[in-house]
This record gives sequence, structure tokens and C-alpha cells, in this order.
Amino acid sequence: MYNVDELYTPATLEEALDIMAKDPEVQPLAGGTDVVVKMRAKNLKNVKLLSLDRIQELKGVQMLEDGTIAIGAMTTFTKVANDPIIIEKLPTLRTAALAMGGPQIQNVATIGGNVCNGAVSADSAPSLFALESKLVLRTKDSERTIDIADFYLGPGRVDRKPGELLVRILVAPKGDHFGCMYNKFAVRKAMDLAIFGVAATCKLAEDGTIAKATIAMGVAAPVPVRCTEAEDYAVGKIPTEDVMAEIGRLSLNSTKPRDSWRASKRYREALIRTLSGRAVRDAFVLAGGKLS
Amino acid sequence: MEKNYDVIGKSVPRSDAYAKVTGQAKYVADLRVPGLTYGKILHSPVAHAMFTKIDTTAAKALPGVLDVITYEDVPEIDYTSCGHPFPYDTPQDMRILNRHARYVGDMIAAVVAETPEIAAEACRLITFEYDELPAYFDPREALKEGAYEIHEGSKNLCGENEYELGNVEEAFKNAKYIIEEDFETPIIAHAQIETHVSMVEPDRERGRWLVHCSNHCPFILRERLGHALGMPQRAFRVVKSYVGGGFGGKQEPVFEILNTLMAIRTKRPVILEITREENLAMTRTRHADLIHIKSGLDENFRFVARDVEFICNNGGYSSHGHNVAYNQASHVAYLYPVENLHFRARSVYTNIQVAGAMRAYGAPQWHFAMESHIDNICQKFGLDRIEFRLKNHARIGGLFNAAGIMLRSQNLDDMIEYGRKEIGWDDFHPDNSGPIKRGIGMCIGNYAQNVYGHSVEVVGARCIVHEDGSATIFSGTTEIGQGAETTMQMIAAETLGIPYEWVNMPDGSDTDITPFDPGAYASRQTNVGGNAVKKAALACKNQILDYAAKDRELDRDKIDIKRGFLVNSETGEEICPLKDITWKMVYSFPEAELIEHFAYHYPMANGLTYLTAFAEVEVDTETGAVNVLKLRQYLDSGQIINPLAAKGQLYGGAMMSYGYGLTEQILINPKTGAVYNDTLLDYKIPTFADVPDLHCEFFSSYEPDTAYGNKSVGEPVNIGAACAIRNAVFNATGVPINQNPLTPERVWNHLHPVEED
Repeated sequence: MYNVDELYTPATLEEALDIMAKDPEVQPLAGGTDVVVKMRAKNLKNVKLLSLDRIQELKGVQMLEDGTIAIGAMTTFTKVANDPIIIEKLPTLRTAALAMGGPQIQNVATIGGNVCNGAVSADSAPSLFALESKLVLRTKDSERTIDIADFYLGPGRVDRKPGELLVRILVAPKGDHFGCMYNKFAVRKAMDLAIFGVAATCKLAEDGTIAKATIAMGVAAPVPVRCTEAEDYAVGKIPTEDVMAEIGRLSLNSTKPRDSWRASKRYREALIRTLSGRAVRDAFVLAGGKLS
Repeated sequence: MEKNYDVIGKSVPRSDAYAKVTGQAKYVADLRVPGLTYGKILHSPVAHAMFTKIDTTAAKALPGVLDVITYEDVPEIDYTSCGHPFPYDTPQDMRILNRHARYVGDMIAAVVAETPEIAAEACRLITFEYDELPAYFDPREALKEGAYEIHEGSKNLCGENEYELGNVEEAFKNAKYIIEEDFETPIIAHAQIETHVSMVEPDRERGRWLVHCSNHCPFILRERLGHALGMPQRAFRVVKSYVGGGFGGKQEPVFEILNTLMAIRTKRPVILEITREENLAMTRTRHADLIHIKSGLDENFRFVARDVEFICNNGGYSSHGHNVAYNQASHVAYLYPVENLHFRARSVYTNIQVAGAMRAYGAPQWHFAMESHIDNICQKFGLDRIEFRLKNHARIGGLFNAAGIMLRSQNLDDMIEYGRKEIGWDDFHPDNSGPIKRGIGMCIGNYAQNVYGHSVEVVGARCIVHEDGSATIFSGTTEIGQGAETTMQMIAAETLGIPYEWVNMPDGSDTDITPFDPGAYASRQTNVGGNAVKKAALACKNQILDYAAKDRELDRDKIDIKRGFLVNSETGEEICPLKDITWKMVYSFPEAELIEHFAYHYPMANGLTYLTAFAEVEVDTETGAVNVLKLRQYLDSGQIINPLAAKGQLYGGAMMSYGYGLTEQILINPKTGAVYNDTLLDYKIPTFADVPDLHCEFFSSYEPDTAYGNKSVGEPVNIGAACAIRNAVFNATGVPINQNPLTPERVWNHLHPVEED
């Protein structure tokens, strides 16, 4: 069922990047909950795997001096969900982590693996997009930092260059009066893919209106998307029913929902319209906003 | 009815629990024997085709391949996989491998190899050519005049029946109200966690084949092996050990016959374990039904006429054929009896995965339609949904000759009253002004105990009382995870008057050793098998008491055995340990006695288990999401033998029905006929995270002519939740949805029809 030629298990990032530089065909293996499933489904042969599991420097959540939160690519969803920094500052990521798969999956699947897998339904993606996260990627000889939005190229395709590993995810400090939330819409409460997922953040202005909102969606287009038109519209508003409806209408402009046997286009559009407005409202309330 | 039992009605852990929980239980896939080889099946990639050429040269040349079998190599014998006892009641319409492929997944060739990887690779190396034939996935298409016959001469009818009671036409003329509606139910999968698996070993010395299976019906499997392979039945010894989920899907040899052919040809032990994808897309399913109901009511809203028509999507082969519809033919008559009743059902061949037996055998489809129909009627005429059911349901004394049913015990009204209070039926006034709306719903249902009235019904049991007073029983009763073996041990212990712990029963079935049993289906095991065990145990007890009376000069009518003691049956006073008697019986010289009896039982009656389910839901009208806030299921299953095991059935069955109501359906590509959702990610059985506030209880009546007043449990528990949830969604939204499952998209589509967009 599994045809593996080689399994590398380096203990340090330097070793891992050395191996990646020497053999660009090596498949990095994080939690394995996507890679191993793919190996079976596609009947992949002569696979060379590079396990990142022993590399401690890729694990854990830290707050840097400037307040930036750095999440190691090999941090499992269970660790993300239970990390005190995440719980206090970025609860949307806790929600996303607990929405992903089930407890057994969360115990091994990593946030970096989830991002690099490039799935449009990745539970971490809407929140990381809405939080305007940056990704730090390294090769043996270089390091670059890019916006997460630039990383996703198409369904299952990401801009990870040969020899490159995602090492950490950075989220800049958001300050006070900030709220964020993720709403996964799926048929089951666990072990399911999102039919649609939306994350929103809200930063409040002095007058209690929205100073800045971000809205990001999964399974609404070939890659996770930001809804910039709706975000711009939300500034200076309080998310009343009418405002929510307009956010929903404008959000649709940023998406390309399609018909599939999992859901029709018409239904997906209804979810986008309804749940984007609700997400902004919920983030607004979490930020301390008053609806009336 | 309260009875004073020592063992019955007291919870004990199942006798297989420890082995299963600790991982020591050996399932078929755990069996490893020297020289084991691996089977793999090549399935048809097209829905309907005649294969014209098949080339196995490359596959056979692959190192490690022991055998490649194609449709050209199998016995020219037609058989059906249906696991019913003789006489055959379904068309014998399949071969072990088929040149004429009738659905995506039909078996056309197979490989035996030294490793599973080589077997899979060899399957990929087999090349073939075929002529495609017209394919039908919807039974209405297959029934059209001039449609291509999937089975020659069948007109695409696998079976049909029709009957009329009273004068339906006249009754409709006189009816005050007439309501006519259509319902549709989905194809669903059994989704056993253990996929279909078997392992066959040659016994070269005796020229026999040892078939290890995970199957409901080891004895019928033995018969099917003989028939399909054209060999004497005595050539096969079938052993069933632990079963990791059956639900009716393993009530027939889907792969065991092919597996045995593999072992016969290679003379090697061969294991055939199918993948999750094969299990979901290429085994057996619950029939998707189109159900038309026309009801006539009098001025008091009592049923006076009923016309029901079923079209059942049977897939490519007969499997259980029309028998599921026959069960539905009974069901339409006996929950809400009506004097004038017309029933017609057709089971239709189509080019999809084969529909067969599944837990509650046609009853979930019928109940979904009828219980929805009743709520639709009540809504239309402003009637109380509970009162309508109380007014129309059958009561004790009902006799339904066609189905062999005698209604002699029922505790339904008490359960309904309890549920009504528990769910807060009369004080339910939610604020439904926002987009999220709450609703409550309920349903009732019933289910039989055995197949008396339909087909052969007999089970054997043997009971041995050892010299120390302990006992061993051998029962045909097939354990498939429902707790049947524990139940039989409890019945033996109660009957013998000894503690439960003193009764042993070998795990599993072995057709060389175990007394005959047709299998685990129809929720019949406790009813039929329980009576056989009771008879055999009673014969042992009587032998002991006869001996004790004579040996100790006691009044035979005033002694009994209780808790492992010989007692005075009037005072309960202990006379001596049972062992004092049994030891002497066995070890007397020269006249010893052995205490061992065989008995068999065939029922001459069939009673009805009753259930009711209640649900409270909230529906997000903007997304269609249904959130079940409360789910209640109550069961009148007669005297409960083992409450712990029965509760497992009651809760598990409720969640399986929850899946039927909300999430589960096999989806088929309308162009190719292939199954879209052949993984457990996309085929959505509920997870533990989905379990709502769920509470279940028993309301026991006492059923005569049974071992201890017991009625069926395993299948009736699988009927209620789907109907109650559907009716709660209707109550919340005011929109009737006559098709399950109520997925968010389906609910949303009903709330937002296209023309209103």
C-alpha cells in the first residue's frame, strides 16, 4: 500500500535543509495526515520522505519582542489550540485548530503542513489570511518572508520553491479592541471538510464603529481569498442587519464558487452571503463592539 | 409485567467485551497462517457493458502472482448471494465473476499473489475490451417500455407484488378527506468499520476448505458455497469469529465465494480483505425507494383507505431481491391498520451498486414516508400530531394474518405520554422571529421478532451441565456484535438456576460444531435462539431435579434450582449445593448419568416491538443547517434480557437513524454511475462529536411464547430518529421535506426554491 524508498529523520533544521538541497525530490513529512493519505490514494511509488518530527526548533508558539506571534510550522493543531498565547491573542486560530479533523488528527497534523498542502478547504487558511499572516520560508542558503496570500497558487498548489521548507508563521500584533473569529460550515461536527469557511477580524475605532475589518474565505474560490471590497465597505460601520447583508453581497464579488457534487454554486453563494456578514458581526462583538 | 428473575434483566458486560477492548480478539484480518496469500478484485470501470476480451498475460507474468481468474474461468452456475434459507426466494442471477458487468464495481477478474501490493499491481496489468450497453441509474428509466434488459427476460423487474384488502376504490369514494403524496429515500451504506473480509484455508488431508468469515449467516454461507461452486456442501467448514460490524451488509456472501475459489485453485490459504472504497461503493446498500401514499380519512380523521406504491432501486443483481419490499408490504398494514388497503411494489434492476439487507429491512424507508405523511396531514388540517397517532395506531388484539403477526403486548401509549412530558410537548412555544427557528417532532414505529409467516425459522441449541454444576451451551445464534452470545448465556443461567458466570459459550460459530441457525437477521436471535437455549437448559434442569428427587427422596414438585443450589421451591430454603447432585450423577458407579440435551425451536407466532422517538431541533433558515438539541428514543421491547447490551443497541441505533435523517447518502455520478463518495470523509456517518443530548429508555411489556417475555431490539431501534428529526424540522420551518437525508443544502433548497430567488 505504501512504497517508501527512503525515510530521513533529521534532528535539526540545518540537516533537513541540507537534505532538501541535495535531493529536491524529497517530500517533507509533517504530521502525515495529508501526505500519507495522498500516497495511498495516488499509489505513489519510490517515495522519499523527510520527516520533520524531530526538529524541535520548528515547534511551539512564541511572542517576539515587538509582540509578533511566531508559530512554528511543526506545531500540531492540539498545541495551537491549547497554547496560552493563541488563546489570549488569536482565539480564531484555536477555533480553526479544533475544527480541523478530529482529536486524533489534531494530535499529529501541523499548522505548517496544513498551509503547505494548499487545500482550499484548509481550516487554518481563512484565519491566517484574515490575520494577514506572513510565512517564513528557508532553503539551505536563503530565507524569505512573504504574505500568506501570495503563497497559494491554485488548488493543492503553493509557492514552495525547490529545497524550501516553511519554518514559521508570523502574525503581527493586533493591539486592543480587536476581535477575530472563524466559522467552519460542514455537515458533521468533526472529521469533515468545510463546505465553506470564513474568518473575520475587526478593529474598533474610538467611536465604536469598525476601523478595519478583514474577511477571508475558504472553499469559495480555487484558493483562499480576502474579500477586499466588503472589507473597505465595512470601515466606519456598525454591523447591523443591513450592513451585514451588504457585506454578504460585496463578499460574493471576491469569490468564484462552483457547482460540484458536494454543493451547488447557488447554495455556496447563499453561504457566502449569510456567513460573511455574521462573521464580521461576531468579530465586532468579540472586539468589544456594541451592535446598538 | 414484573417478574422475579435472578439473571434476566440485570446488566452484565458482554462476554466478548474484554477481548475486544484489549485488542486480544482476533478478527478475520488478524489471522495469519503459514503460506498466506492475498486476493484482489478487478472491478468493472463502467456501469453496463459486455466484456469482449480480457488479457491476463502481463498480470500472470508478474513475479509473485499465483493465479489470475477471470469471468472465463468461473463455474457456469447462476446463484444469488442472498443469505436466506432454502427455498430460494430471489432470482439466481449472478456468477462469481461476470462477463456482463452490470454496475461500476461488478467483479470481472481477480488475482492471488504473495503480497497485497503485487496483487494490486497485477490487477492493473489486466487489459480488457468491452461493448458498452445502455445504463440506468433511476428505476423509472429502467422500467420504461423498450428499456434494455439488464437481466435478459426480466423487463428489469427483480420482483413485484400487489395485494388488496377490502374495497379500496369504494372506500376512497366515501372518504371525507384524501391526501396523496410522494416520498423519496436515499441509497445508504452499512459502513461497517470492519470492511468485508474472509480467509480460506485448504484442509488437504480431508479435501475440505476452512472458510473464516465475518458474516451473519455461517450456515447459509456454507450452502451458498456448495451451490455456487458446484461442490458438495460437506466440502466446507465455515467458521465465524468476531465481526466488526454487519448491519445486514454481511448477511450474504459478497466475497466469500470468490475467496474460496481462489483457495481451491491455488491450494493456498488466501485472505481477501477489501478496501474502504470498495466497501462503500461495491458491496450492498439499503434500497433507495420512491414511495407513493394515498390516504383516505373519515370525518373523525381515522384512516379508511390506503393505497401505497413502492419502486425500489435494487441495483445490478437481486441480492435479497424483492424480500425487502415483502417486508414493507407487511409494514404498511400493521402500524396504522386500515380496512381497505392496496399495496404494490416493484424491485427494479438498475446499473448501480446492489441493494440488499440493511438493519430494519425496509422499515426505515416506510416509516420515514408514513410518519412524514401523518405530520403533513396534521399540519394541513390543524390536528394534534400525537392525538392523531393515538387515535389510529393498532392496539393489543390486532391480528395481521398476511405477516403472521399477533399483537399480544404493547406499551406504546405510556411511552408516548412519557416522551410528551419529557420533551415539553405541551409547553413548546419558541420565539421563532429570527432566522434560527426551533421545532419539535415525534414518530412511532414497530418491528417484528422473526420471519415466521415468511420463511424457514428454526434454531438449535445444546446445553451441557458439568459435574461441578457449571454449564456450557452451544447455540446457533450468531454473534455479530449485538451481544447475542451473552444473551444466550443469561437465558441458560436463568433457566438452569445457576449464576451467569457459571455458563460458558464458545466464541463464534463453526458449522462443524455449532447447532444450525439461519443467521443473524430479522432481530430473531433472542426470540428464536433464546427459546431453543431455554428448552435445552430446561431439559438438563429437569434431569437433575428428577435425579435429586429420587436420590434424596424429595417431593419432585417441591424442589427447584436457584443461584446454584437445590432449593425448596415453596420456601426457597437451600437444600444443598447443586454440585452435590451433579457430581454424584456423573461419578456414580456403575450407573452414571451425563447431563446434556439438544433442542431446537421454531416459532409459531410473531409479535411486535414498539418504539417512539422525539426530537427538538433548531434550523438555521439562512444556511439550512439542522442542529438537533434533544433526541429521545423509547422502546417497548418486552422483557429486556441484558439492559447494558440493549442500551448499546438503543443509543447506537438512534445515531444510525440520525445519520439516515440528516447526513448519510451514497451519491452517484449521473453520467457514469460511479459512486462519488466512497470514503468515510465524504460518506457522512455521524461521529461522536455529532451525538446530541440523547436519552433512551425501555418500557417493557411481556410477550408470550418467548423465553422470558422478550421482544426484538436490534432493528426497531434503527427506525425512529430520522422520522422524529424530519418532523421537528417541519415543525420549525413549516416546510415539509419529503426526502431524506435533510442535509443543509436540501433544507435550504426547500426553504429557498429557485423561483423565489
